[in-house]
Amino acid sequence: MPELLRAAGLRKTFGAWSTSPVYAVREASLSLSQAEVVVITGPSGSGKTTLLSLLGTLLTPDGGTIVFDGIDLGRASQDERRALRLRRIGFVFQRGLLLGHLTVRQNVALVPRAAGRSRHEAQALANELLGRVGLGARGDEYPQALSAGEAQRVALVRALVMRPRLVLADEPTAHLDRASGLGVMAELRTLATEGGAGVLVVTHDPQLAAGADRALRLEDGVLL
Amino acid sequence: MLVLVAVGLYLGLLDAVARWPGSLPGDLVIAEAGGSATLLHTSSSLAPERVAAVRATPGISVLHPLHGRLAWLERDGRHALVFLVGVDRRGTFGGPVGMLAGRRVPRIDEIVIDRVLAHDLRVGLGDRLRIGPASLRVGGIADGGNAVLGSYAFVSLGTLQAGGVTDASYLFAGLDRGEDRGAIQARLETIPGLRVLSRTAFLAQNQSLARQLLLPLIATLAAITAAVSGAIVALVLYTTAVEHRTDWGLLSAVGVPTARLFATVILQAVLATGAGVVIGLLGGRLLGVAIPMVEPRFVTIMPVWLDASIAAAAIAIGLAASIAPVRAVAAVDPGSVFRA
Repeated sequence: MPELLRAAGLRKTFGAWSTSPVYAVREASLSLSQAEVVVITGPSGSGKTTLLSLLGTLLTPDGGTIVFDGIDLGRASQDERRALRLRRIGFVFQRGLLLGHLTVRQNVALVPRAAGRSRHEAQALANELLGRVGLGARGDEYPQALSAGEAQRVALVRALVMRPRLVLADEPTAHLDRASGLGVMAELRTLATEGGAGVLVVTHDPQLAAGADRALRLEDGVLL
Repeated sequence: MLVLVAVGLYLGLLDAVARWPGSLPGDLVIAEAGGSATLLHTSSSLAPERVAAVRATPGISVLHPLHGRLAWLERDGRHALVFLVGVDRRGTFGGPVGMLAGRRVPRIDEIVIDRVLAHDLRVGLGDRLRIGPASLRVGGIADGGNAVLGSYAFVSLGTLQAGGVTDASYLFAGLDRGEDRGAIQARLETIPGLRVLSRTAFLAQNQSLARQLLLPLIATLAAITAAVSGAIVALVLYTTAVEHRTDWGLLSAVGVPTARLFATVILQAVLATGAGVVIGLLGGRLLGVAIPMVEPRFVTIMPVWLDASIAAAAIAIGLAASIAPVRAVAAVDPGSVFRA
């Protein structure tokens, strides 16, 4: 499969000028191909989330390069990074992070709406994917009415609604029971990779690595 | 609401002050020099030779002398300051604007007073009022003679003259058709001892006291209201933005354009302010109806342009107030959602 993402020599330090700087990511290099699922495991504080933030353009590395889909992210402006996040990168967060004052459908549709799609088109996209994860009938409900597993599936749908090229998931099953967690991971793999997206999941749960194409380990900011 | 009521009361006061003087015909008003030509403030007295000189001035078609003086009315220990106007027997000039009860043209021992004054002094038709040693029977209750700071009352010209007011206080001059008002005004001003005003200037002069007293207060009230309401809106929206920083961070993280986030905050500010405006204007209009019921001397005038001006100002305040929450949203780190 063609290469989708290549990061080389990534460095990120917090409090570099303080007396006790935190070297969150040190000389990390990795690649990801289209339709590939890579799981990065590591203990809490190992730098997993920082690495994900760097790859997702939410943080700027102190050193190293990231080339995503042929674009050197180091040369991209803030607006270009934002546009990439909107159209080509999907995020799945630990707790789903759905907006409580919006319905399930609106939570999903807000991304295509922000990307300039019409309301009708955005809702159609949301409905289609919600149906794929068995939540088609719950579109008018508010997130508070959902179980943790359902909420995470909605968050998954929101991440995938723009058919992104890259999906970054941060501990997507951390707050789910075993069965729900495996279900979410299976749906993530199916929905993301069928469109050719590459998936990078960080987790401290080594069992999730079993379903991945490749597993990496991060310790003290160093990718092993 | 506060500003609407305050300005409404102010406009009502200006209208009340000018209502009766505004009913008097004439293009030019001639007063004694040295006075302010404010009916409820200073007196004016024009000697007969000056009146004759005015009458002889070319270009004047009609001249109405107004006889009047400031006086204190008294009833059972209650006092009221009035500008007492002498009305001739035919009532052709200087009478009340409108009548609620009784006679418009008072008889020799009668007085016509405004409804607000009647309310204040607790008198009705047939009751008696004292002016110094004289006692006058209330012969009519008028509408439109209340000027808040004082009141206009009407007696027969004979009664006023018997009280010592024999000279005209003001002259209201109508001009011949086609005559240039400025030219005649300049001609009249050559007569010693006279002050000549256009009708508009005379009405403005009578409103000037109210303007001088109230405009600074209203301006201060409006400024305080704007500052307080702006601070409240800004604080509420800022607090809300900070409380929901995870939501804003999420929107930022998934790539929602910054302009769209800011537009959302600004829209919230405008909607919050708009809701406040609607409630405030409705409340103000209710108060505008209620206040004259409780206190008849206060009449509110609330033209549509006033509502529109207040709404526009409030929206501007809302926009200004959105700066703080916009800055709060701009400061949210999208990466923070991973730590939420």
